[in-house]
Amino acid sequence: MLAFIAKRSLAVIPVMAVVSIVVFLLLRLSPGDPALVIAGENADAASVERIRMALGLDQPLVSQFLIWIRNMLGGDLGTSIFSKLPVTELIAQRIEPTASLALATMLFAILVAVPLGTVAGATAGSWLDRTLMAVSVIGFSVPAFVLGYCMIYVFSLRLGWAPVQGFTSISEGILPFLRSIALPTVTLGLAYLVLIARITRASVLEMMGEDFIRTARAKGVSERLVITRHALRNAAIPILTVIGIGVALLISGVVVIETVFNIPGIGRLVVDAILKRDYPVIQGVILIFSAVYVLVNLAIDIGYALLDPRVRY
Amino acid sequence: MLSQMKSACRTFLASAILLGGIGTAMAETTLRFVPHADLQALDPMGSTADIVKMHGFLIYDTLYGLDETFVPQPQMVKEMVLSQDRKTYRFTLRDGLKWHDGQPVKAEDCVASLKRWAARDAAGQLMNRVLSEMKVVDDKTFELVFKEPYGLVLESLSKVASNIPFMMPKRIAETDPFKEIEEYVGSGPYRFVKEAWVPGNKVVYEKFADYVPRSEPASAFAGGKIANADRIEWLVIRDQQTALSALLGGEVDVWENPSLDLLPVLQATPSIKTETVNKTGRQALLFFNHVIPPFDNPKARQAMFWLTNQTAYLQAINGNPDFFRTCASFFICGTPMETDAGLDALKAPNPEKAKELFKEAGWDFSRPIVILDPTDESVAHPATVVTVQAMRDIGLNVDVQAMDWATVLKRRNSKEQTSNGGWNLVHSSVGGQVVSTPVWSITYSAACEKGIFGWPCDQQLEDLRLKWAMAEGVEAKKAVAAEYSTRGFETGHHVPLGQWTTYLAHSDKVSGLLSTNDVPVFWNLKKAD
Repeated sequence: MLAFIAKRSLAVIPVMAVVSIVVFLLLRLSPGDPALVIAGENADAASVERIRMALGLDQPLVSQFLIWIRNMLGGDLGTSIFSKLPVTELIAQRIEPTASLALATMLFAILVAVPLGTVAGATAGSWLDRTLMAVSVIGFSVPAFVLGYCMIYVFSLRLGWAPVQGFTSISEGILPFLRSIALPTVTLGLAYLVLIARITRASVLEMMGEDFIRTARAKGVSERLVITRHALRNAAIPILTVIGIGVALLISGVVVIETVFNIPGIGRLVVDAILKRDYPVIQGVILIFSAVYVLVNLAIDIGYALLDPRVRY
Repeated sequence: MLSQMKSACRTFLASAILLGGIGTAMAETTLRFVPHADLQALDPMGSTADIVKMHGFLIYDTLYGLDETFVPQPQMVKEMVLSQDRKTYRFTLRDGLKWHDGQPVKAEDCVASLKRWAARDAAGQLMNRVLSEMKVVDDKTFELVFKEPYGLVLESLSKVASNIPFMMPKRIAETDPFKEIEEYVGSGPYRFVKEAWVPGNKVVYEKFADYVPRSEPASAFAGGKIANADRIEWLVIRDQQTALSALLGGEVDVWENPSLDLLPVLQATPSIKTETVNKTGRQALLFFNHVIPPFDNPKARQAMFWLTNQTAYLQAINGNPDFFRTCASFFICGTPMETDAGLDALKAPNPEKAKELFKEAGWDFSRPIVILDPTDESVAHPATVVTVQAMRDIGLNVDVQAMDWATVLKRRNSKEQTSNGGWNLVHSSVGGQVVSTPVWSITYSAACEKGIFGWPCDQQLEDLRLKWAMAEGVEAKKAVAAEYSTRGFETGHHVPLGQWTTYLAHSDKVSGLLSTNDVPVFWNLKKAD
């Protein structure tokens, strides 16, 4: 098992190297110039050129890449061209809202979806199953931003239960923190929830027809234990896979939700940076996102091996 | 015993009420403001963006300030004496001026600040051409000595079109003008709280307790800058619907530039007021690439004037006749230099004449004309749509190239042929103050390679800009502006597409918004409990 984990972990290195090169080249080869954005509408060409030189953007591409890689390996992701703040500081400022939102969303989605999907799978064809699946179709079809606006209208403006926008750090109190992420969590989590619920239902349903389930029932095991200990455990691999895939969904969803609820997270940081061509910030954030995605998938791979001893790569 | 207890209770209650009162009196007033954009740079010399200007006016002060009637008024200056030969301006600073680090403002700081500004700004560079020296006389006095009388000194020092001559401590002002400053110490009514700054999300300013406002009432950028709010927080909310909800929910106090679509909702809400701060507004412009066909030919450029239906542009850009006006003038209407000289084409569009002029220019109608279309820009994109339709209506072949604004900024610097990444037409918009005179920005330059993108090239226009700067008195300047306008049409410099205003929405607890004819300012603003 340790050799398997080590092998999978080492595979992360070339993936991240390729990501670094692609990110760097994509940005530099795409049109747009941060010096022009900084200089503004009324700046003359000489001013723009001086700004470009001051930013080091006049240097050859290879030199820029080598400097960036050297600094990055030393833990320095560079400095924002616009705010002049270190990228690590910018990410640190925004990691809490995004991490809180992502974790809360995953927890919310998994804790609600797995029981719902299991119940639906175990009672396939019943009114409960049909209702749950109908609701899941709606949940999957409603765009997150539409749902977000509706939630704001009802829960913030009408009922006053949660703030319209912004994020309150956990250091300012658990209750204000929970109030600030409640609506974004439910909004972002709904699509994720129904995805997991549907996969759980399908997997559990498939397992319920297996021989070992019939054997368990024949041995007199209670239906609750049949479902939770036998069916659900064996249905876990596809559920785990969809949770892993869902992380990518979550990353893209975070950008929308952070905009709708004005949460100062990493999603908004990277979108702003792309619009301004703030190269160091884009590179830094995409590297972090990629690393998170790769590591989550590594964890999922390890999870497969733990759940099913037959799994080896 | 009972009376003693009663007395003690009364004392306790009275103390509690008093303390409560003090608590209320000392409660910090925080004004939450949703700006039109994120603060993308902190050095007001490093960017000409309006948001940077707003930041600048909060933390820095100016020697002169432009009042609501466009007249320069002394701001940091207590007294100005002009020599008999009109070549030497002696400025004496007001008493009690301090930097945010507690040091006194000195004449040497102002001279260093002016030098840095003059290296970056078009008006500063113009002034430098006739400036002999800047001289520190003593701690509070300095002189600007000119080679010949120059009529734009106070106008330049009070200009509101970026870059603005904000005053900084000497040690900061001595930074290379083309490198960003790293300390943000001003002498304005608010100080920047860098530790609380979250780029893209929040900017915080705190009242500068040692600021000494002038005694005159505030008028735009002049007069007494009284900081009523203890703390100002800019909350960058990208989404209009979210900003609307935040304002309705009382989470923010003032919202700059809401979409006009939301005006009915805002006007229907009793607790929300709407106001137009910048009555001059913004102007949309169509720029030509003067160096490649067809717009290397003035006839083709003039054709676009005849093709311009300003109402159609303004409907597309703004859509509310209460907020826009057609304006057949290069210099934004409502300001002293407004003139329609030579611009009959804008008053009576004539597509047939436009077509004839393209033919006279020898243009092959089957060849594509490349127009850059920034689909993420709320003015240039709708303006592009109108231009494209008007051109297609007279049979021109238009190649609309969609991209984001950052890409347009890059592409419009290309002098290549259109087949090799070049361009023919691009739209933009500028604040009214920028286009209120021929010299405040490079928009009106015709200095070929050294001028604005598109590279208009006409020595007569350049001479007229200088002539305007040297002219004394408003009437003389107006006459030169009319000459510039006539020549501007003859050369087809660029096409003004009309102007519009935007508005601010704010809670009814907020009062004292000043009309500035430009960006909103934060002094004089009051927020009731």
